[in-house]
Amino acid sequence: MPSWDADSGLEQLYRDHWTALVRTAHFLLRDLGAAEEVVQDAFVSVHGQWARLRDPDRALPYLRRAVVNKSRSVLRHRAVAEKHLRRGLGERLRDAPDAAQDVLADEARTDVVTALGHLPRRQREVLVLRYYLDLSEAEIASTLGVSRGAVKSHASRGSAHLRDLLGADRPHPEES
Amino acid sequence: MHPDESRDDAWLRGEFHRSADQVQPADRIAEIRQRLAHDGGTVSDLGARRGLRPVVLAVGAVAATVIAASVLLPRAFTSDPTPAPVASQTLTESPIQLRDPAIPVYYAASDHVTQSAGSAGKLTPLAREFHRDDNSDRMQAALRELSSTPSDPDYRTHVPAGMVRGASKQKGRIVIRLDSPDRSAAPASMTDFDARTAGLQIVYTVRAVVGEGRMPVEFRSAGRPLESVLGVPTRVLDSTVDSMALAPVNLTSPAQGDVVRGDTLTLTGRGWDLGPGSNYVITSAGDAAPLRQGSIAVPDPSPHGFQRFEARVDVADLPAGDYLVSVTSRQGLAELLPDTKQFTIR
Repeated sequence: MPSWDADSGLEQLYRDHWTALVRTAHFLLRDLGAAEEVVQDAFVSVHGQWARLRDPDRALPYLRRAVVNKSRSVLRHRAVAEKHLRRGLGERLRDAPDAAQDVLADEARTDVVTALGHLPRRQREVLVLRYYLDLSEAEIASTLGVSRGAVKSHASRGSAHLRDLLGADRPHPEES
Repeated sequence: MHPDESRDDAWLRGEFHRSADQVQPADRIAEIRQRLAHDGGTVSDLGARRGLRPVVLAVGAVAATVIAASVLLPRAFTSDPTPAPVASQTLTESPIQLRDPAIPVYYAASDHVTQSAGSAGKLTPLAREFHRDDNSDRMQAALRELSSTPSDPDYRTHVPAGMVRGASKQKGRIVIRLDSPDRSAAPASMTDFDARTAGLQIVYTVRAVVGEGRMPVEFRSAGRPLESVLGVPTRVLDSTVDSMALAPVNLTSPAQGDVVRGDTLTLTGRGWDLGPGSNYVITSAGDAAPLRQGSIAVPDPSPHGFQRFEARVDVADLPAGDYLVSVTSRQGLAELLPDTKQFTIR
């Protein structure tokens, strides 16, 4: 990657990775508007950190980490908002389905995005980075700040769980 | 197939990519550029910005014109030959003076009413404010603000707190999730007009946040679509035309409570039917005598669509103090509905 200033570097990153990063965040958040906001924030962050990154090749890993971390923040905020809402509205809302269930119910079919919603957050992150962004174990470990062993473990459990959830749509071995 | 990858892994990889292909992100490069322009940008940009900023608004919700925003963009970004339509629309909706993105929120514009066609009766027209967004989730922030007190004391909200739990774009429409299927029914505590205004507040706000024009909307709760909201058929909320739903004129800048420093006050906003006679009047907060007045007429007024207006007012010799600016379109339907904001000169 040539040595760019922050503006031109950001433009190049945007052209090459905006769509994939938004889709990554969408897998994690299941909300396109929120996904676009998260990735937009990440691009603004990487621009501000350009001088510190020194090596332009570090910009993309920084972006990926920022997208994952900001997605986690959105999910945490959602959980807190849900908690307050439930506390405020009392019994009536307590019996209502939660936001995740609402989203799931909105989807008539069981696709990957919906099925991922049933997985623990870490497994979801590992699977998205592995199967959508095609990152290696080492890259996933670096992005998530965990060991390669943890990546392997989450990937194994997560993919098994996901296969079960998608089982109905999965082709038989002889079909593939 | 990756080395050591099993058949199941390849199948999963295919499922991920097929699913991802269904997600089509909007182009947000203009918003990113805009945020960078006022977050710091480059050294050369900062110099340009100091020279070109027409007026500094210290607090409150403000919006920028396309012209103002475009001259403030970093040089490297303005050279992009392919600006996206969605991004350019967002550009006109966003502030340049604030560090954080502003979110558009629609409120009922005062007690004035406009006579709607047919038997639908009267409804309060909507006006838009821009509020600060300190949260990364713009939609959630907008939905919270929908039930909060507007900045303009002439505005009010009819949306019950906690009613709207979320909204997102899905397959060419905006799905709005409500807290309970009970929201279908008309509440006893709300008039039909207020209920319809509340529904339109929600529809216009989520459309503005999504930023892709008049997208169809669908209300859902507990996973099922709702035929009505607060007793108002959702098809009515979805199809109400702008000229019935929106106030004839909406002053965006200055926003209520803005502080103006400098010699020039720039008025920006939008309205329809901005023909000859559409004007602004500035008065002292305690005296109705006009201190400044002038035209906001646009060269080619259209009764069928909203148009932006901009006027620059020399306020160099106005003493420091509180003022009111009132903007009026040439004609309303049943009555004129001016938009008035208080601002302070220092």
